[in-house]
Amino acid sequence: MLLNNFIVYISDIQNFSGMVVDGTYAKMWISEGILFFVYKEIYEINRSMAREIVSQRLQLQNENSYPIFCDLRAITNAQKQARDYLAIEGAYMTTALALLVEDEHAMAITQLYIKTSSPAYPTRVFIDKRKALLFLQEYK
Amino acid sequence: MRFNSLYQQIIEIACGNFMFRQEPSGRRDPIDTIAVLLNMMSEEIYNFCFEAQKQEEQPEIQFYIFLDKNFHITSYSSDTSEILKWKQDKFDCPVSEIVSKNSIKTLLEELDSDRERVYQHFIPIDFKTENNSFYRSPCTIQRMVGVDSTCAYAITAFRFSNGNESEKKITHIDESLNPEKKESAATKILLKKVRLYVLRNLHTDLPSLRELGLIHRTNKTKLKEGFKKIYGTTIHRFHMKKRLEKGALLIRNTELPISIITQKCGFKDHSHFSKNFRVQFGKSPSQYRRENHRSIS
Repeated sequence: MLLNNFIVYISDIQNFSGMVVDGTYAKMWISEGILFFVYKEIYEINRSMAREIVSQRLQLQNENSYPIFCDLRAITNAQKQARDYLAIEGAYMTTALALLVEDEHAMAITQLYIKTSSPAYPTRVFIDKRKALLFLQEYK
Repeated sequence: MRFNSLYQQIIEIACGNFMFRQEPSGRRDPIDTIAVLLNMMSEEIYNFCFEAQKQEEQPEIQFYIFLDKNFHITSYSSDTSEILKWKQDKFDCPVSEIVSKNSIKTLLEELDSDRERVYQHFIPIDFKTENNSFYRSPCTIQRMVGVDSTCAYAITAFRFSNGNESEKKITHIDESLNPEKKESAATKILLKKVRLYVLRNLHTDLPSLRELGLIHRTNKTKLKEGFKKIYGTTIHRFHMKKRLEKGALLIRNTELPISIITQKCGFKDHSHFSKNFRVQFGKSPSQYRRENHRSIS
């Protein structure tokens, strides 16, 4: 499954001429007004990882806010403190968030995250990447 | 068997043990989904009931485990077996037998990173208990110096308890006679909403306490006293602290001019921002940027 994800994104990245940042915990790039954020395989995100993740995203964005496409398929779990940090500090300079998950199992877990952390910006979870990108179009 | 561990977790939650965790089988089926949701629910309940008051709470030692230089268990406090429901002694067992794989990684990372740290740093560790379940506890791991080789590392597990525990017990009977308990949960939900409101308004001034009360359908006194009691600070101090933290994050990681960051953090002028920034971080915003700025390019 992870290999499939990787191939999809290699094709995305190949069609893309800007900078791809190979961060500690994710690959990220900005394309056509959307920030793509693809997590690397992580068993459990903790607070210090969450801080680094937000920090690297802000460095890539620099002065601009973007809608974010966030591929969570390689993440197994996130601790409560990390979830809280990503919901609040992770919201800085974000206009909307589409979370891509692997299946119904991850969908249920991610829905609980959204319900309990009440992000301040429009947030939705998708299993279909195309629909996720469509959702972000109006926030560009 | 898999259902049994779900039943077990529900019983533990019903008994007030929110530290019980299960490791999903990896099959990603509905049983796994329920297991993960129960884990997250325990975290949320624990956070809702206890975590916010941590500032008023004192960590107290729950149990400790000593390891030799090869990370084998050499001794542990007498109540460890009972808390972790060990059925037999664990002397000479490798630490991998008592904590989850992920927690081993966390412990090793902590040992690598703590060389210069002087303060106590809690990391959540999952201890194995019966039926492949876990007991999660905030822990510290310390390298022991100047003791014999059987005691190279110490893992200490903590729990947070309110210092007024005995006082609480005395008043417990009175409390059970009036309906205040139910209101208290409602107040907590209300204050959680107020906290969220503050965090969503870091870009602007906060309304007065009276207006905040009106927005949240409560009164000024309840808001003021309740927030202080639960979060250990006043609403306006909390707002100021979070605005400055946001400012510091943007100063460190973006090239946004400080004048723009000042506005984004809800300050009307640079001197107000700068003065408060200096109080919290001990240096001016520009000096802080010079020393901490990070860039990917």
